[in-house]
Amino acid sequence: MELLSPEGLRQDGRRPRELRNLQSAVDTLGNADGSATFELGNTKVMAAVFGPRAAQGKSSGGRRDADIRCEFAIAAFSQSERKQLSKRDRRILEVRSMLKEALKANVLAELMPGTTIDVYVQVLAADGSIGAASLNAAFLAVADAGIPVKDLMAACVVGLVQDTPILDLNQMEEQMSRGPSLMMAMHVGLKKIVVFQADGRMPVEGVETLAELAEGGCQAVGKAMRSVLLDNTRKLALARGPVRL
Amino acid sequence: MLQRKQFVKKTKKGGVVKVVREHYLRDDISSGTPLDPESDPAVNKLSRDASHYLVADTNVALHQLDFLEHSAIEDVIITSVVLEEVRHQNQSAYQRLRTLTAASDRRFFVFSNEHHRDTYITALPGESPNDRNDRAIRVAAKWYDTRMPPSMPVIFLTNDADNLRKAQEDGLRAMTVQGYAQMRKDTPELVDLVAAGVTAEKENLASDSQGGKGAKRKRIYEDHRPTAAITAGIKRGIYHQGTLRAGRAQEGRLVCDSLADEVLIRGRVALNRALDGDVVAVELLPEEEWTGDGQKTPRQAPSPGTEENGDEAAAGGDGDDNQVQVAPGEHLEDDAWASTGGKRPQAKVVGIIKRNWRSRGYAGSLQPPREGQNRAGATSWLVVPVEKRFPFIRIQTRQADALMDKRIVVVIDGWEADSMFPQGHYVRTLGVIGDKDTETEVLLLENDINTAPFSPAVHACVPPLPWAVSEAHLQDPRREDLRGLPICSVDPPGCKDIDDALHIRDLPNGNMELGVHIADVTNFLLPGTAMDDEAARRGTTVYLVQRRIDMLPKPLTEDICSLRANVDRLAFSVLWELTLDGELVGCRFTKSVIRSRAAFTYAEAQARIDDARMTDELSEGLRKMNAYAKKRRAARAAAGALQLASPEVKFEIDTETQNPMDVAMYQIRDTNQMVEEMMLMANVTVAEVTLRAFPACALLRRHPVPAPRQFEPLQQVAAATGVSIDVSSSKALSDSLDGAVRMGDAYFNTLIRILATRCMTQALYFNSGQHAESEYVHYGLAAPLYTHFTSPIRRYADVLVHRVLAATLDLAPLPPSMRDAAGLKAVVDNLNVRHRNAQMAGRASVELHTLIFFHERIVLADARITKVRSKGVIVFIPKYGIEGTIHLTPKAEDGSEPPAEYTMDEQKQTIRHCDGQLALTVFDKVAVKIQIVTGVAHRRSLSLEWMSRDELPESEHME
Repeated sequence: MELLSPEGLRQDGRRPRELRNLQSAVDTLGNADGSATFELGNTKVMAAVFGPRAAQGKSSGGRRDADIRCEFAIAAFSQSERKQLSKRDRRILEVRSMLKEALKANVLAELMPGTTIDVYVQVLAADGSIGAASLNAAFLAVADAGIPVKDLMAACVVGLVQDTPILDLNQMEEQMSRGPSLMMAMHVGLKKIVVFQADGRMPVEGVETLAELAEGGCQAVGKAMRSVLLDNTRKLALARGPVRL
Repeated sequence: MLQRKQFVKKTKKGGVVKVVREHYLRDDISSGTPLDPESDPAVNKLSRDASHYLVADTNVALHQLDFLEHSAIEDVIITSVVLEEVRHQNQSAYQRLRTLTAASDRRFFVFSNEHHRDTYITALPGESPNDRNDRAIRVAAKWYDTRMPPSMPVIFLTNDADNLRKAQEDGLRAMTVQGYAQMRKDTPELVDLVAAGVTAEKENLASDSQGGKGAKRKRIYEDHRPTAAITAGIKRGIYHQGTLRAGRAQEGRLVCDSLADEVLIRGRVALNRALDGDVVAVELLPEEEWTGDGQKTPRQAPSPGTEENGDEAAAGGDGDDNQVQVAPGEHLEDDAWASTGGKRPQAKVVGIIKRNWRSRGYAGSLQPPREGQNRAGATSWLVVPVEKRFPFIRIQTRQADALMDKRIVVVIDGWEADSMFPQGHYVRTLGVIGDKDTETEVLLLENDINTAPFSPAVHACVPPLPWAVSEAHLQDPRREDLRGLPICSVDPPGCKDIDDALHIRDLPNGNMELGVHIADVTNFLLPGTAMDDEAARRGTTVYLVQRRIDMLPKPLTEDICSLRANVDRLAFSVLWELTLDGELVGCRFTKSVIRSRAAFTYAEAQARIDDARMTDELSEGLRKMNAYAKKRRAARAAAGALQLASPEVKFEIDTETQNPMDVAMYQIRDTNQMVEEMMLMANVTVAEVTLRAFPACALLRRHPVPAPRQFEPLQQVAAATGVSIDVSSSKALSDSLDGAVRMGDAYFNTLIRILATRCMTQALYFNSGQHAESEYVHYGLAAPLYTHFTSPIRRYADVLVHRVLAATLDLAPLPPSMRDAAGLKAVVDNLNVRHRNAQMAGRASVELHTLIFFHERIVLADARITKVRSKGVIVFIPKYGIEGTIHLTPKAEDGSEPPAEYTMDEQKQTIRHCDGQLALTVFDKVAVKIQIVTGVAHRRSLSLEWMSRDELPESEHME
C-alpha cells in the first residue's frame, strides 16, 4: 500500500503536513459540569467532566490538591468491525493513564484541595489518532467546566511514512505504516511539551523533525480549540445580557 | 472540499463490514503543463511544444507498456485512477509505469484526477466501478481538452470499443493504440510494439491468409475455472494448488502442500496454457490415465495442432532430447525422476491462480518457414523461445524479413482457449543469432541480470578519482593503522576487484597473529543512498567468461575499494592470535588502513611456497599460512565437512576475437584452498560474533540438510558399482565419499563427488530472526553458523554483514532498515534469487563458450558414463566439463519409434545391445565424438556420439 504517492498526496488526498477536517464543540451534554466533542476527520470523541466536588471517602479526604480521575472507553460501534474492548485492555489502560497524567500536568489541582474531578472520555468513532483526539476533547470539557488550567493544551499525532514526516495519521496510515509514530501534547502558549509518546523505533536524528512537525500540528489544533472556547464564552456572555461597566 | 467514500468489504473471517474513508478534493492539483498558468512550474513535465498530449486509459497502461516505453511516445498524461487500477491488477506493470512517470528524461505526467475538485466524479446509480473509472478518465481527458488552447489537441487512447465510442460522443479525439501507432508515420516500428489485444488478435486472424481458418476456430484448451470455483475446489480438496515447474513446454511438475508426491502434468492440453512459474490449480487424473514410466514424454497424440495449423506442425517436435549442459547441477533433476520409473500421480491444470509471465520478455527467434513454404508478406509468426521450458509465442510483425536471423525479445500478452500458442508482441532486437555478444545478451536477459549502466544518482555517490586515504582516516580513533604489516592478496589472474588480503606475523609473546583484511566497502556505500539501493537490487557481481557485470560502479570496484598492491586502502580486519601449535587464543576485529605489499595470483603464490629459496617475509608468511590452512582443513574434514567437486572449466580466450581457443579443467592449487580456508574462518567468526550481538537481525547463510531422497540417484549408481553411500549425516557422507575409491581409477572418486554435489540443495541467505536456531546449520561446511563477510565488493550480503559487524563493535549505529524484519526479508530473498541467477548466467556463459569452441570443430574425447537410461547413456567429459546424452538408438527420420535394440538393467545400471556385442555400465570409460548440431529455429546444441575407445588418440586418454 502506497501511503504517500510520488505526487505528494496521501490516500485521502491530503499533503503530508495537513490536518484532517477539524470540528469541535463544547457544552454538548446538559447534565455534566463540562462537556465537549472533538472530531478529527472521521474520529469523534466525546468527553464529560463532573466536578470539582467534595471528595468522598477517607483516602482522598486529606489531600492538598484535587484528585483527577479518568475513565476512557472505545465504543463497540466505533470501528468497521464491532468489537468491545475490555476495560483492562492494554490499549484502553494506556490511553487512560496518558489522559490522567496529561490532565494532572495541566489542571491547577492545588487550587482545589479536597476535591475530586471525574473525567469521562468516550470514543464514538475511531479513525486514527484517538489518543490525541481524546486528550483534546478532555481538555475542552475541563475548560468548559471552568476548571483552572495552566494553559491551553492541544495534542496531535505525527508519523514517518516512507521517510517523510506526516501529520495527523488516520487509521489506515497507523495500521499500514511501518515507520514510527509520535503523539505529542503541549501547552501551546507556554510552548511546553506535556506528553511525548513514541511508538516504534526511530533514528535519533529524525526525532527533532518529527517533534517540530508535531509542534506545528499542536499549534494549529490549539488555535481551532481556542476559537471554539472563545465563541462559547462570547455566547455565554451574551446570554447573561449586556455587560455594564 | 470533503467527500466521503463508503464501501462494504468482506473481511478475512468472512464477515461483511462497512468502511468509511475520507476523500479530500483539492484546488491545487497541477496539470503538469506550462500551457496552464495555474500549474506549479516545479512539477510541470509536459512540453509546451508537443504536437499533442496523450491520455491513456487503464487497459492501455496495463497492456501496452512496451508501446508507452518507446522513446517516440512522449507527453502522456497518466491519471491517478489509472495508476490505482494498474496497481491492483499487476504489480510489475505498476512498477514499470511508475518508473516511466518518475524518469526525468521522459515526459509522463501523473495527474491526480481523483483529488481534483473538477475531475472527481461519484458513481452514478447502477454504474459499475469499472465504468465509473473509465468515465473518470474521460472526464479528466475532457478537462485537459477544455483547459488547453485549441493548438494543443488532447488524444484519448483506448482499445475498448465502448470507451472509444463514449469518448467520441463526449467530443474527445479518441483512437485505438493501433490507430495511433499507424498515424505516427515518423516511427513505423511503433506498430510492432502494440500488444495483441484479444480483440485485435481476432481481427488479425480473420484477415490473415495464414491463420485465416475462419472465425470458428476449434477450442483446443479447456476453459479455466472461475476463481470462486477454484477456491472452493481447493477447500474441498478436489483441486490442488502449487507453482508449476516445467522442464519443457509440454511437461511440468508441481509440488503441492496438499499432496505428498510431486505430480506430473503431461502434454499441452493437460498443462492448459500454464507456463513455468505460474501458480496453478490442478485436478488429479484418475489413476488409469497415468502414463507411468517416464522414460520419454509421449508425443501428444494426436497433437491438436498438427492437422489443424500447418505452420505449427514443427512445434510438436520442440522436445528434442539432445540436452547438453555444462555443469548441469539441478538441470539433471529432470532425468533423475524421469528414469525412476513407476507411476507418478498425474494431473491436469484447471485454472491459473497467478500468472508469472515475465514483463521483461522472452528471448527467441522467428520460426523459419519450412522448405517450399512461401510466407512472404505474412505478418503472423511464431517465435521459438531460447529456453525450452516456454511454449512458442505467436506475434504479429511486419518486419519478419529483417528479424529472421535475429534474436528478439517478445512479451506474452494473452492466451485464448482457441489458440494453440500464446499471443505476444515484439519488443526489441538483441542482435544476430549465433553472435557471441547477442547470445550473451540472451543469457543475461533470461537470467534477469541488469546490465544497464549505473544512473547518475548512483555515480554521484562515488568519491571522485584519484582517491587516496586521507589524514582524517588515519586520525580516526576507530581505525587502526596496519600499514606496517606484511599483507598480500592472492586471487585468480586478472582479478581487479580484490576483496581480501592476508597476513601472518610473529608476535613478541611467541604466538602468531593471523589477519584477514576485507575491503571496507561500507565506508563508501552508505545505507539509504541511491547506490545502496542499486547494489541491493543487483545483489551480486555477475561473472561471465569474458565479461563482468558489476554490483558497484567501476571506480569503487576496481580502484577505491579494491585492496591493490602498494597503495593505502581502507579495510575491515579480522585478527586472530594463534599459538605455534595453531590453537586460537584470541580474536578481534577492527577497521583499518592497510597497504598490501603484493597482489599474487594463485600460481605465483604457489610458486613462492614451493620454491624453498624464497625466504622473504611474504613467502615465509604464505608458507606458514598454508601449513595452518591445511591443519584447519583436516580438522574440518574430521568434523564432517564435505569435500565436493564441481567440474569447472577455464577457457583460453583469444585476445583479438574474444573467442575461446582452448578449454581445460580449472586447476585447484593449495593456495586456492588456503585462501578459501582463511575466508571460511573469517566468515564463521563473524557469524558467531554478529549473531551474539544481534540475535534477531544478523544475516547468516544456511545450507539445509538435504532430504535422504535427494541422494537416491547417487546411491543408485554407486550401488551398481558396489559402493554404498551413507547419507545419515554429513560426517557419514563425508566418510563414505572418502571411501569411494576404485583401484587404478583415480577419477572415480572425483566423479562420485561431482554426483554428490548435484544432490545438494542450494545454500541460502537468511535473517536470523526468520528461522529457528536449529535451521541455522550449514550442512556442506558442517558449520553450525556461517555467513558471507569476505567479498563486499561483489556481494551485497557481505555489505549487510559488514554493517551488522560495525554495529556490533559500536563503530556505527545499526541501520534502521536492518531492524525492519519484513523489509529485510524482501532484501534477503532478492539476494538469494540474484545469487542463483548469477550462477545460472555464469554457467550459461560457459555453455555458450563451449558451443563456440566446438563450432566447426569435431573432437574426440574420453568420457565417463554417469547414468544409464533406456535408450542411451549420460556421459560426463572431464576435459571440457560437459555432460550429455549419447543416444544409442538414433531417432528415425519420420519420427516413429524404432524397435528397441537395447535392454536396460536398472539395478546394475547397465545397458546391453540385444546381440550382446555392446554392454555399457555406469562409470565405464567411453570415447565420444563431440560436434555441433543445429536444431529447430537455430537452437544449437552439442551432439555426442559413441565411439570405440580404440579410435581415441593416446593423448586424449585419461588416467
